[in-house]
Amino acid sequence: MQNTISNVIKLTRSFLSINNVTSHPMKNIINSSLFSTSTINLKDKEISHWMKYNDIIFPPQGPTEKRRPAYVCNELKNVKFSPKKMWYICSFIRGLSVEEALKQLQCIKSKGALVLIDFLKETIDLGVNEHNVEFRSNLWVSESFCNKGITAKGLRRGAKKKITKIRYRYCNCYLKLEEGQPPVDYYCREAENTGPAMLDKWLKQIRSRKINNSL
Amino acid sequence: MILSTLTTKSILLKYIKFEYIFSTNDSIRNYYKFRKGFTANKHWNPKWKKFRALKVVKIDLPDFTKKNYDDNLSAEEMRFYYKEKGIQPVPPWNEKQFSVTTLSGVLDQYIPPEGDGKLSPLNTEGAQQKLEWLKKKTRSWKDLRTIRKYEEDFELYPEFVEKVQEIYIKSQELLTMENKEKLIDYVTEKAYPLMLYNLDKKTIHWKFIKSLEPPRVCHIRVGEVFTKQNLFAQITVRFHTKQILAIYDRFGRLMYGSETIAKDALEYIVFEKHISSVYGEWRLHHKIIPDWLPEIQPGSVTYIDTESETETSPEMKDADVDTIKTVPM
Repeated sequence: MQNTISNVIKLTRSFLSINNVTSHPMKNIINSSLFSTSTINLKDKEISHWMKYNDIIFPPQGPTEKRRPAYVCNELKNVKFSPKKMWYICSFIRGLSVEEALKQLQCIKSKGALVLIDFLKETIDLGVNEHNVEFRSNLWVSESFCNKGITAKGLRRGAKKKITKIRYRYCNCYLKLEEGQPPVDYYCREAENTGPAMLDKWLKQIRSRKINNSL
Repeated sequence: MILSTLTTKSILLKYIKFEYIFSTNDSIRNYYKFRKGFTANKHWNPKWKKFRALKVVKIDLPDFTKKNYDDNLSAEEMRFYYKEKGIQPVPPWNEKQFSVTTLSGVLDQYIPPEGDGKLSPLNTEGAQQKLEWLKKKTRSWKDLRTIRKYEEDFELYPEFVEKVQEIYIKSQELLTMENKEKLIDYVTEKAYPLMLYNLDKKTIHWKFIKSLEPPRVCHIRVGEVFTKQNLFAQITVRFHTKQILAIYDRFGRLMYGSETIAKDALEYIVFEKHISSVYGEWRLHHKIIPDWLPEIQPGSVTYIDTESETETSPEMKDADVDTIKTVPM
């Protein structure tokens, strides 16, 4: 009798240790591996991890320090569009100034582009109204990505009474706009491809060679 | 050509997809449609099209961009949504208890005389002003007597005036510390949102240096709510002080004021107390801003003034407003 009780206590303890609340609120859910992280539905009052970047308050700067550029983070949840298709358009905007991005998005024949145009305009308004961005056009897209949202599932009848699922995919779009001029090379490709940089890289490789079983 | 260098099939397909999405030329898009792996989803025989469509089970896809339960929806729109879902609309049962803790306005607002901070009693104008003050004070004396009924040993000078200055300083200091819970002890419910307006996520540095003149009581009024026994007292006090104010935005950049330059502030502040209640306390209620005071120093941020649109010159109207120059940070 006692053995069974102790076993039950052990099981409950182990179960409790899995569901222990750790420092990061998301860790608990990730470790229990009940469902993928992108499909977590937050309650009404909870703020998502991405939007919490908007709540960070920086200490006041002295008069001699360089003026810190403002940034805005914004998200658009559960847009009826496939995340795989959205990826192309999100990554297209990266590193462009906001005006340039809007101009280019107007020419793309895709539903995701239409969604992103409205989304970009909303984030610009957010920045100007709440985050003390002075000039609307003095922003550039520093981060733009998407992940999967909800997938609604439907049915489709196949041959020989076979039933298959149809997935109606939704995606979440995330944007971060920063104040100032966009950088010349967002992916730092030119820095890698200069002569001196390539020479350094080759030298590093050559010097890291090892002759096995040597002194 | 880039196509020749790509070897794996997946990269090729991705390039085709990229071209399909981003090429504005329709002929290019039509060309890529017929390549392998990216054809139109269309059967060659439309005879069985309807039967193929019947295979799919139709679903009402949820739309998260629309807000079904917005507060701004009209009654008709709400009825429409309830009908769609087949729910009988229930009338809201909002019976909330409320208590009157402040007055919504200022009783008989004090009109501060022009040139108050500048004129001295030695001028003729200054002497005239003083006479006018004395004439209008009869009602204030009456209401002081009503206050003395509820509060024994109520002395304006020096106790009340000192206490009120402390409340004023304490409330401002609590704003800098962003302590909203304690702020309501020093500030009435009417002034609370006005004090916190536009101060979300901003750091404030405020310092009280000294008072140039001793604070002076200008105006006393007592008002009743619903019954004659429920009384609120409001006293306007004139402060002439030296203060430092610097407001920084979320990123630590100076928005308003400065850390070093002190400014003289002439203010007429109304304090209120629920005298007929045992738990009534003197709290900051309202600030009277006369028209003749000099304008506040403008903030360091530029913005588009929508009111003065008609004043733009004809040259500006023709110019391209879209091409606003970006400012290097």
